[in-house]
Amino acid sequence: MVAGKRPIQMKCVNGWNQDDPQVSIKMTKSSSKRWQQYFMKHGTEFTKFWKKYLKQKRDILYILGWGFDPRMCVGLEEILSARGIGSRHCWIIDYQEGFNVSGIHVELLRSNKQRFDRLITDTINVVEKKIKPTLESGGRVDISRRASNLFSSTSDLSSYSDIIVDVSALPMPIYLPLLGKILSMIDAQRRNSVNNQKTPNLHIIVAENAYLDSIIKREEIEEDASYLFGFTSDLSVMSQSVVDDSLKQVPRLWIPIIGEDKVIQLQRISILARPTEICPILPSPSHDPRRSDNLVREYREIFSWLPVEIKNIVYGSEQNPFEVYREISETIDRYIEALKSLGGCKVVISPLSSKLLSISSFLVAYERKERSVGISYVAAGRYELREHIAADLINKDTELFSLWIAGDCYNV
Amino acid sequence: MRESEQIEKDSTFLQLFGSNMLELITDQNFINKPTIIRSSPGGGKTSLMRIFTPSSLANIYSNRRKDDTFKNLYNKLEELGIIDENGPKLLGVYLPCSANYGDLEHLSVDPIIRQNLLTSLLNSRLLSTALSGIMYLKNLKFSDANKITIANPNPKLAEVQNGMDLYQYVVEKETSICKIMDSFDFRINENFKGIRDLEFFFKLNPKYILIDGKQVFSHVLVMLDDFHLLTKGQRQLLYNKFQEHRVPIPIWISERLQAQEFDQLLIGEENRDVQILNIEQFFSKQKKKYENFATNVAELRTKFSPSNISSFRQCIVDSINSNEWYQKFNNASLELEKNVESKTSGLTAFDNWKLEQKKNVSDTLEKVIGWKVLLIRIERKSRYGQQMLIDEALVTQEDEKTHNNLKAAAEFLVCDQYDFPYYYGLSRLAQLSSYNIQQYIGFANKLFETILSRLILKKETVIDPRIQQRLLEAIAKDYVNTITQRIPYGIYALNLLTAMGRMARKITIRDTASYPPGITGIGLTYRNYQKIIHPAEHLKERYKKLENVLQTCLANNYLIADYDYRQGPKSGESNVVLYMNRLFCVFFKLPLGYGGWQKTNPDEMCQWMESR
Repeated sequence: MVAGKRPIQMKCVNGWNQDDPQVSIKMTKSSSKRWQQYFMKHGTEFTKFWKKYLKQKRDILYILGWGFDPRMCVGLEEILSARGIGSRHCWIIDYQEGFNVSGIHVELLRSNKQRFDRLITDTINVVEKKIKPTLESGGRVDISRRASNLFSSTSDLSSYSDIIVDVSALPMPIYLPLLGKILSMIDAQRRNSVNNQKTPNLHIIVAENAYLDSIIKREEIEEDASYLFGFTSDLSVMSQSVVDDSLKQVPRLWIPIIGEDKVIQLQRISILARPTEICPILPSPSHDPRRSDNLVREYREIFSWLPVEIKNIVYGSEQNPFEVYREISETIDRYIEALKSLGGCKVVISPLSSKLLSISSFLVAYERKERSVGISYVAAGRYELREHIAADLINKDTELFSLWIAGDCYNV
Repeated sequence: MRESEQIEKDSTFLQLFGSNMLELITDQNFINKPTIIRSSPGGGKTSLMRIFTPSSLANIYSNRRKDDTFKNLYNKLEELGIIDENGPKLLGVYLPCSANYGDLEHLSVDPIIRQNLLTSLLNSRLLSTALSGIMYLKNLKFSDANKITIANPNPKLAEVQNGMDLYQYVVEKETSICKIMDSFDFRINENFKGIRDLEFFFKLNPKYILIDGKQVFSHVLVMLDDFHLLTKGQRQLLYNKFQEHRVPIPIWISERLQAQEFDQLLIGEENRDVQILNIEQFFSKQKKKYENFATNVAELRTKFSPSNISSFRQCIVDSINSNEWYQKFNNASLELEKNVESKTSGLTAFDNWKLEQKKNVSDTLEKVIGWKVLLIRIERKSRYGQQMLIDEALVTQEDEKTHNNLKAAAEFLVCDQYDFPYYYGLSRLAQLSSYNIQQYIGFANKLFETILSRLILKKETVIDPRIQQRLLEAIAKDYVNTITQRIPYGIYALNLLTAMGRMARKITIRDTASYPPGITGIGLTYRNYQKIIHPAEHLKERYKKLENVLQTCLANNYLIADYDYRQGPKSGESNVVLYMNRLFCVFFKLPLGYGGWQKTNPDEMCQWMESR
């Protein structure tokens, strides 16, 4: 119906001086998107940035998950090695009871914990936060709600100048609601602040390793897809809308961010989303220039019976969630405009690719929470590492990304 | 060949719907007593309910003279008294429980508030869906909604409200609850006024639904789909309310088998207050009916496809008695005959049997099977060495059932031994789906794709048994390999089923065919089954895991329970039999018939479950 793909001129971050973290990003007045201009550092830039950033006094809360993923401590190691001044707090989230853990994972969990313990010195205040879900129907939704409840009021934030959420070893149903809760509290604090009281900065750290991602297999995938707590918007509202003096279901646009090995998830989410139109996001540019083609080949069968039109495919950089955020936002805007006479549209985003790109869904859904945009997913009960990978290889091939989501650099 | 939920257009859905499915429904399902429709995923619950929604009924009515598909549907619905020449007489209110009800259970609020939120959401959605349905069926604009009145003489619900007021009220209620539930900052207003109990279910008595003061429907049917997605507590609460309050309209509740407790899954459930309709069990007792239904579904989908293929049935070769095979059958017969001769050399006891068999001079599979049957009988007799020594003519004293089973076992064994195709033909395709229509559609789809490719390559579109078997083996492999992804405790389920399959294969291919047509399941005595349900203290953890694995396998149709079987002497202990899904039979090269099973016990099952 509407051409989804449109080349978009990349307006890169740098409205600010890279060498001076104190300079804010200049928001263009015409921009209606919150993260039209953004801050992201990766690779060697990551280290440089944090070294410089931590030269000032920063009271940091570092949140990470205790999981089997060998990347669990990579980000923390880097941040702690940058030293700096200010207090250091660390929350380690133990969510293992929500998942079935096999023998090999117990070993990985143990070695990750040992690695973590070695990093922690007396000057770091560590708090273990346990999330224990009920595993009945809807139990995994419970995980999300409990994750967001780790913070209960804005006063929980007041002791910190910076909150860093390292999502590398956290599952999506935990880190997205948690990020949503923190960001909503920061926004509320900002709205209600008197005398320009300072609000904390929010950073997300992701350790990317494509090979590692490819050998982590999701097992025991839940039979039914669901909407993510905090990002359901009005997608669960079943009543029809009044359009042209008739009751009608508003069209639904489904935007799956496609990654490898997710056929079952796609099938199951399609049943929940019941899309009228589908705009799959494929990775391009990508390290592997053929990755998009390979994905199309992998999903050939499912794309043949879902209403996917080739012209609706949208391409987004595999390493830039802000760019993908912008692509998704513009796609949604175009559909809303085109479908105005049918009552607009409801939008379902499904992050089925890397953790880095899942952040783009978070940005879009958070920004449009009140405007019929939500996130759907299918929970997995178990993750399986298909082969052993040596620790030194993990560090060598892992690239750290730092995404500054809220705080000083956006305050104009 | 997608699932019903994925077919957006009603007209498409109806053209693909196998009307034989409506045979499950009788007028008893329209009395004021809840009907629970159960099956594993893909059993057809949603499709069945969808037929009774306003848009489907309106579509069937307006196309009732269009073609046989619509005519059949119309006639069946007319027999049920819910449609006639004036249009649909039934208002179907379809409510999926896939929305956010389950999430309510995790709110940190007083349980009374949680219940209030649940009934408020359910009542709101019920009424908004009902009002949309009324407007759709009666061609009303939204501005005409004030012509609708939903009155109720019950003193508690005496107020008469027009459709428009009611609609706006319930939409506002639903939207506000959904917003509260999705909020990061969950807070419920102290003045929040919910809709308690099942208030609006009473409003939907057809007598009280009026347009311009006149009754417009003879029936109202509430359909709650995916009821298993509610939490156990919510399900119990609603069951109790439906029974306590004696709701004056029929309610259909569809749920997957996973909603049942393990013991109910195994020994079945009886409840006088509700009618229970288990789709797979219904069809398992009416095998021919199921075969017709499944084949009909494939036919409808084939006709609907944009290809030139007009019939699925005609593309599936149903027999291997063709010229291509005669030489192979002849060679196999000669080999088996030689075998028989060598085993009975010097004995006359088998002469009658051999003579009988030699009368068959054809080169058919029947002949090969005949020799194999003879060989099995000889093997069996040879087990009783003494009988072999008494060189007296033996008389065949088998009843028809035993004889048929023996023939079935022999057919499987010769196909296995000589690499003849076994998994092919419409009848076996139906068997292979284990009475689950989605499973059937899944592999019918693969076969159809092959037919289409052959059409494109300008090859013959009929696919022979060998190709069918190859495709089905690939499907079975994929089915088995993805089990760990598809269900909870998948790895343990795979271990258990693999051990079962290996054991079954080992016993089935024995020369004596001891359990014809072959082993495809395991039996558990009631005593042993009780041990799993009420384990000794030191076995609790181990058996709980086994219970979970069995429950998930049963709920997802990987295992199929059959009850009260006895093995050995008639006075023997009753058993619960767990058969493997028939696709596992393809994977482990086993026959497809039911009846053969091997006794086991919980400890052995635990070992299987843990073994890689």
